[in-house]
Amino acid sequence: MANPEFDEKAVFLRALELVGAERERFLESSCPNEASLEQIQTLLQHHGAASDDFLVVGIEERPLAGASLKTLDEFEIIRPLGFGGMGVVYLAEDTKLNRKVAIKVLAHHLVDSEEALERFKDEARAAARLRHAAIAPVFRFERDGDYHYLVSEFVDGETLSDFIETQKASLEKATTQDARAWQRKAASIVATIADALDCAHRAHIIHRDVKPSNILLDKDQGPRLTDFGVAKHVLEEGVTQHTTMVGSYHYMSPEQAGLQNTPIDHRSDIFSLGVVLYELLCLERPFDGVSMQSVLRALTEGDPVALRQRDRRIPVDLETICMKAIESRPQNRYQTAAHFAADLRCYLSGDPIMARPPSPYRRARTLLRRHKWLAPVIGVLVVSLSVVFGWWQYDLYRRSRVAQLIITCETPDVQVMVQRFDSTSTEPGPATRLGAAPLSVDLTPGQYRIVATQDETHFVETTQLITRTGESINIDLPPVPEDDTFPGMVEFSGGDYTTGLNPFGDDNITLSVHLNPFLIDEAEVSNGEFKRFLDETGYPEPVSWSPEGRPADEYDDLPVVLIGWHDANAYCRWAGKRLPTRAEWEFAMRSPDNRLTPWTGEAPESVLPYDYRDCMTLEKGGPAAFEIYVKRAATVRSHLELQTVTGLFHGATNVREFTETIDVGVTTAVHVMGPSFCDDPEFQTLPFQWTYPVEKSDNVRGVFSPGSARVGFRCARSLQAPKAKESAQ
Amino acid sequence: MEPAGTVTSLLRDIRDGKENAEGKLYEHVYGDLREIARDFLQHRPKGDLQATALVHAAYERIKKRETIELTDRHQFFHVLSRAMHDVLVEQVRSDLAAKRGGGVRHVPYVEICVDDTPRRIEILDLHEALADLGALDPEAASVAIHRFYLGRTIKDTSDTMDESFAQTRKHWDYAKAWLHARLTRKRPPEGPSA
Repeated sequence: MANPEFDEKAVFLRALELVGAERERFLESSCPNEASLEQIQTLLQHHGAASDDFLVVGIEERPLAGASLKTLDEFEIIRPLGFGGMGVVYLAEDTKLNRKVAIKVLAHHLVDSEEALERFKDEARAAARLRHAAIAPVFRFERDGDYHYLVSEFVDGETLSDFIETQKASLEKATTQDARAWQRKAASIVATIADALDCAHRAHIIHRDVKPSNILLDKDQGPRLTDFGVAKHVLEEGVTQHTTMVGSYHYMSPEQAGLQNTPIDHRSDIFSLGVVLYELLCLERPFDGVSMQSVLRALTEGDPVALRQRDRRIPVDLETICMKAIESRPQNRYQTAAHFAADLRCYLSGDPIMARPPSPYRRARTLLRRHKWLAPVIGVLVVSLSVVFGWWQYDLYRRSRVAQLIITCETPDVQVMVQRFDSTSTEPGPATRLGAAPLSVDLTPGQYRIVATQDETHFVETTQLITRTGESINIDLPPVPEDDTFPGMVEFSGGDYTTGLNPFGDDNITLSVHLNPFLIDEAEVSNGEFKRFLDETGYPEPVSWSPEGRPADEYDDLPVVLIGWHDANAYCRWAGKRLPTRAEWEFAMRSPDNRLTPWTGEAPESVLPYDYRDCMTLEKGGPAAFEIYVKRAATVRSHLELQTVTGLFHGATNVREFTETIDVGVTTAVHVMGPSFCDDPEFQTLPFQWTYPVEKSDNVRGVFSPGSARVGFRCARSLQAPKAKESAQ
Repeated sequence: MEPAGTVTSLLRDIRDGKENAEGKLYEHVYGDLREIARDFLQHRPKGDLQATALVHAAYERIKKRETIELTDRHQFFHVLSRAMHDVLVEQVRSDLAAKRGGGVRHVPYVEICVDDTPRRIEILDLHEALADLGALDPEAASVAIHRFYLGRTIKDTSDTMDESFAQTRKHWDYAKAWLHARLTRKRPPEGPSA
C-alpha cells in the first residue's frame, strides 16, 4: 500500500496465470519491495488453499429454555420433545380423550401455499391409514390459527440415536458375549423396521427419511418408525435442497442425494435402513465426514469400509446382508424391504441367508454349523466331485470372463507387450511381455495398450477396448516404422502433470499423472486423410456418414467429423500411431507454461462468436448439422494466430477431439477435449473436457457409436516403448 | 403494511436512473428481510440453516407479493444479498431472536474451510473483512457477497453484475485469496476490539 504504483490485484491476477520460473521472474520485476512480494505470495498461496466454496454463512440454532406455545385446540402442550425436520415436536395432553399425544407443529415454510398444504394433508391421510405394529400411528392433521399440526401417538421411549450414543459409551467394556447380544438385537430391531417399511411400500408410501432419530424404542412394544409420509413432502417442497438435506444426509441414498440420475423409489428407504444397520453394528456411519460436502463425497465414492474391517466380531452373514442393503445401485440392493427382513431373520435363526447367492463353501459352512453330522459326508463328496469337475469348471469360468485377442504385426520378429489402463490415473499401467507375434492372449474387459517392439525406439502401438467377453478380436498392427522422424508431429518431454484445471467448472476433476515423452499431431486429421485410410484398408464408412455418404472432395481440408471413437482409433492404428491420452492432449496444448488459452489476453477475431441458432441446429444432427459444420469449421493447419507456442493448431477452436482416455465402468465414456466452433468463446479454454458415450460395439466388424459434427481427432505416439516385466502366464 | 408494488416501483426507478433509488430499495428490502428472517427462523426450528436458503425463502415470499420483472431480478438479488449480510450482522449485535423465538435462539455463524477442515469464525470478523476488501476493491467484495449470501455460481454472478464471466472470475480469484488470507491469519495479539 506504500507504493501507489503497485496494483496488487493486477499483479496477483497476472501471476496466477504463470507458473514456475516465469512466475518468479514476473514477481521479481513487478513487486517494488519485499513486503509487496510477500503479500502477493501470500495471496497466491491462499488462492491455492481455498476451494470455491470455502466459506459458508449460516444460522445455527441453540435451544432456549421455555417455549412460548401453550395450547392448540384441545391439546395442552406439556413440553417440547425435540426438533424434527419439519417443526417442533411437543408432548401434549389430549384433554378430550385424556391421553398423551405427540404434536408436531409444522414450520411455516412447509405450509406456505394452499397447494403444498393440500399435498401435505394427502400424505398425512395416507400415512394415517397405515396400520402396523411398528408404525407409530398418525391420528389427525389440524389447524389452529397460524399453526398446522400433526397429532400422533406418543411413544414413550428413547430414540434409536440416543440408544446408539449410550451403546458407544459402554463399548469399552463389552465382552464377546455382549457383542453377540448387541448384534442380534440390532438385527432384530432392523428386521422389525423393515417389516414396517414393507407395509408402507405396499401402500405406495416411501418414507424417505429413515434414520435413527425417527426410530423410537417403545418400552413395551419394541421399535417403532415415526414421521411417515412427511419427509417426501419436505424433500419436494423444501426451500432448497441444502436446507432439507441437513440433518439426515448421513442416511440418504445416492439417488436421493441427487448423485445418480435415477428416480427415488422404495429401495431408497432400504438403503437408509441399511445405513442404520451398519451404524448399529459398528457404531460408526458408513458415509461420514466433517461437512455435508464430505459426507456426500464419501457417498459418491461408493464402497464403504466393510463391516468386518471395523469389527472382526461381526458375523460374515450380517455383513453380507448389510452391505447388500447399502449397495449404491438400487438394482443391486434387496428389492423389497420384506426380503431384507427375511434375510435378517435367516441370520437370527441360523439359516443360510439369501443375499449374494452363497458360494458352495459358504452354504456348507452355515449348514454345517446346524447339522454337524453332515461334515464327513460332505467332505468326501466335495473332494471327489471337485477332481472331476475342477478342470471343466475352471475352463468354463475362464472363457466366460475374457475375450481372445489375436495379435499380428507386418514386421517379423517383434515382441508384444500389453499395458492395462489404470482406472485411477487413466494412463496405461505397467507393461507385461507376452512373447513374439503372432500370438493370442485372453484378456478381461477393460482398455489395453498393445505394443509390438523391435527395440526401445522401434515399435508400433495401439489401443484396444474390450467391452464383451467370449469374443475373438484380431489386431493387425502395421509395420514398425524404420525411420524415427515423424513429420507433422510435435515432441513433448512429459513429466508430472495435473489435469482438469477448468476454470469454469465448480466441479473440477483433476488427475495427477506421470507422462512419458510423446509426440502429437500438429493438426487434426482431415476428411481427405480419413478417406485415404478408408480407400486403402476397405474399412467400412462411419455409420454417421450415411445416408449422405462421404463428404465431397471440396471439404477434404476440413477436420474429419461424424466419426465414432472406434473409427478414430482404427485410423491412428493404421497410421502407426494411437490417440493421445486426455492428459497428453491437455499437457501438449497447454505447454510450455500451463496456459489456459493458446492466445494471450482477449481472443483473436478469428475465434467465432457463439451462434445460438446454428449451434442448436448442429446439436440436432442430420444434414442441417453438416451444413453448419461446413459453414463454421476451419481448414486444418489454418489460422497461425490460434496456434500454440509449440506449433499445435486448433486446440481451443475448430473441433472437439477424441482422446484415448476412456472411463470403463457402468457407461463406457470417452474424454473429449477442447472447445469447438460451436462453444461459447467465453468458455473456450484448453482444459475444456466432455465425456461422450462409446457404445458397446462389435469390435470385429466395426459398427460404431454415431459421431458428432463437431468432434474430430488427432493422433499421438509414444517416444519410447515401455519397459516390460516378464509375463506370469 | 407496505402498499403492494413498492419493490417493483423502486426497481423501475433504478432502471430509469433515479437518484438514490438503490438506497431506497435497500432500506425497504432490509426491513422486509428482517421481518421475513425472523418469521422464517421462528417457524423452522431445526438444525443449521444456510444464509442462502434464507435469502431464497425471502425472495420467494416477496415475489409472491410483487411481480418482479426478469430484467430487474439481477438488481434485486444484488440488493438482497447486501441486506442479508447486514441483517445477520444486526442479529448478532442485538441478539433479537433470544427475546422472541419459540424455544430456540438463532445464532448466525460463519464456517470457513482451512486445510479441508471447517472452522467457525465470527460473523463480525467476516463483516469487517468484507468492508476492508470493499474499500480496496468494491467489485471483488461484491462478488464475494453474492457467493456467500446468495449461493450463486460465478456464471450467475457475472450475469447479475452485468460483466463478462472472465472478469467476474478474476474478481472472485482475488476476493477468494484475499479473504482466505485475511480470515485464516492469526489475530494480532493486541488488535483494536470490535
